[in-house]
Amino acid sequence: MRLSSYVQRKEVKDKRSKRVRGDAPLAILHSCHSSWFLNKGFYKKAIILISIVVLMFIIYLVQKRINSEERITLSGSLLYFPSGEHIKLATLGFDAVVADLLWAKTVVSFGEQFHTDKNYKWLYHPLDIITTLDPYFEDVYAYGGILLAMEAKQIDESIALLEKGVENCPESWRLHFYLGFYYTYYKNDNAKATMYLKKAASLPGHPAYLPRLVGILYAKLGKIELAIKYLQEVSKSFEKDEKMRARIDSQIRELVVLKHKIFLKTAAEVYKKAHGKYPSKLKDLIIAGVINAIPIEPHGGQYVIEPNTGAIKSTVNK
Amino acid sequence: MKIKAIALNTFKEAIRDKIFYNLLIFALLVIVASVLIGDLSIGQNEKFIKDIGLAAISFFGVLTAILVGVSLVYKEIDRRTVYTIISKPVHRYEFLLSKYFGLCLTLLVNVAVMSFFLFVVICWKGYSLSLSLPKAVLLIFCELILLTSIALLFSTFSSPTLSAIFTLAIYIIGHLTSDLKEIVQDTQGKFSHYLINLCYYILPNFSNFNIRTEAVHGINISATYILNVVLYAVLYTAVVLFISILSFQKREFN
Repeated sequence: MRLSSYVQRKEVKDKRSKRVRGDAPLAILHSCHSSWFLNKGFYKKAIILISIVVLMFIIYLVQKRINSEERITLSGSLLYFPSGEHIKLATLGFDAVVADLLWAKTVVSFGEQFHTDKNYKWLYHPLDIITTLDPYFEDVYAYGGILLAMEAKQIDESIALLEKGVENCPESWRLHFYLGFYYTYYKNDNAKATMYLKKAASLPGHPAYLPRLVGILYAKLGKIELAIKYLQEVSKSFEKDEKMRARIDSQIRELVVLKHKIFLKTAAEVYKKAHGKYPSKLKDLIIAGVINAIPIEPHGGQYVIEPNTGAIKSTVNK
Repeated sequence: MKIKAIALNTFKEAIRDKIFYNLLIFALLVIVASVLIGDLSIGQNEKFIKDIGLAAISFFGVLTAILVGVSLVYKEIDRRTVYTIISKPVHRYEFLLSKYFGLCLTLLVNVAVMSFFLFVVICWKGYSLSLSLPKAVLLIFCELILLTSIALLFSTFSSPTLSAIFTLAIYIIGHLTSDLKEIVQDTQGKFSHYLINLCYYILPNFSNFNIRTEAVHGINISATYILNVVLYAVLYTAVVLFISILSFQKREFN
């Protein structure tokens, strides 16, 4: 019984496969012969295909309509993002990738605003979020700081971002350098600027000109003695780099000249108070007992005084 | 020996299920990221590739662990293939453990291939390959073996859909508890404080395994931290597997 049913089934199977295999060309011929467009299957397929195309077209139109509606702009939506701490809860450990995407979005939004109405009110917020999600994202602090300060003119925000940056990336000379620069350039706070620039000049990878810049800032602050001492320290660290060392030493000499000039000028003022006029020669200062000796000009020249104005000049240095 | 045979079979089954197709998507993702995103990132292409690469390894791993893990046992019961095994001199715990190790092997191959591909792309692009990247991958794998054990536990007494939801919920909670703990830190002595702390220590803490941000920035992670986290994963997995075995012993097949 079983066997017979098996045989039957096999026969049916063979027939089926034969029909497919053997009669296939005939079948095609047949379908070609009888008007193929009357084929039910073909209509079905065609209707489905056309419906899909039509639907896609309607979807396209709807999307167009949606696009034309008033919408919160990309940059506007960034402004209403929740704080970084709250977003961190929702990222489930994928913080860095979310920070990347947000950074890309911020850059694009900035570009949009840059070419339109230059409204950057929103800019600080996403930068703050990104750096909360990924506190070691050094470029966001650096570029964000630049964009905020130079383009958006939000100096306080820029400094806040960079201060967050130096806290999280204490090894980055770049962030310290920018922060110091903004303090001196925008805030005129040379004391803080010097602090950050000095830190920048002590970090690995800093450019060679940085220590000299710090020296200049110290001098600007009126701390010439400090500047000389600092540069002497720096000069020691450039033992191998003769060129750099020579430059720093020349700067030290200039600072020394400056220090001497201030010293002599002060003495000349004291002399003027006592005698009613500036001394005609610097030696008069020693004779009058105002100073003990005339400092030695480090370039090998000599200091002279203009008797009328009291200005101190060096015979070598201008 | 028995465990090895069933585990290898589970591995082969995973291959037949075309699990490794996700590798293709991964490869595509990393290549696209490395080629296209560079313009958007302002010189941070390296960070983007590493971030996306590590996140994708973790993401695909979690998907595989949950979706395959929850159906491991259920499929055998549903297709009644479990009878042919249980009727043999194989203990139930052996069956369960071998299923588990089979999936772990699948995950290992998956993670290894993806990491290898990521490292190749990083080297090909000429970026630095610090030691902290393999460390991050190791911890991702630890996370996956723990997650797989949790999926297996649910699958011993629940349907795949529910198990997947439960496992995903545990995964989400496990990522949140450390943040929640920080938030309630000021509320000493309150009920919520104790509740969160309880959750923090009882539920698996998945944020332990996340050192991806540090790894991408080349920040060194101490060997003791890695060792402790690996130990945490192994111990926690052992506990979960033990509970799964207890649950599976009680299960009746009808």
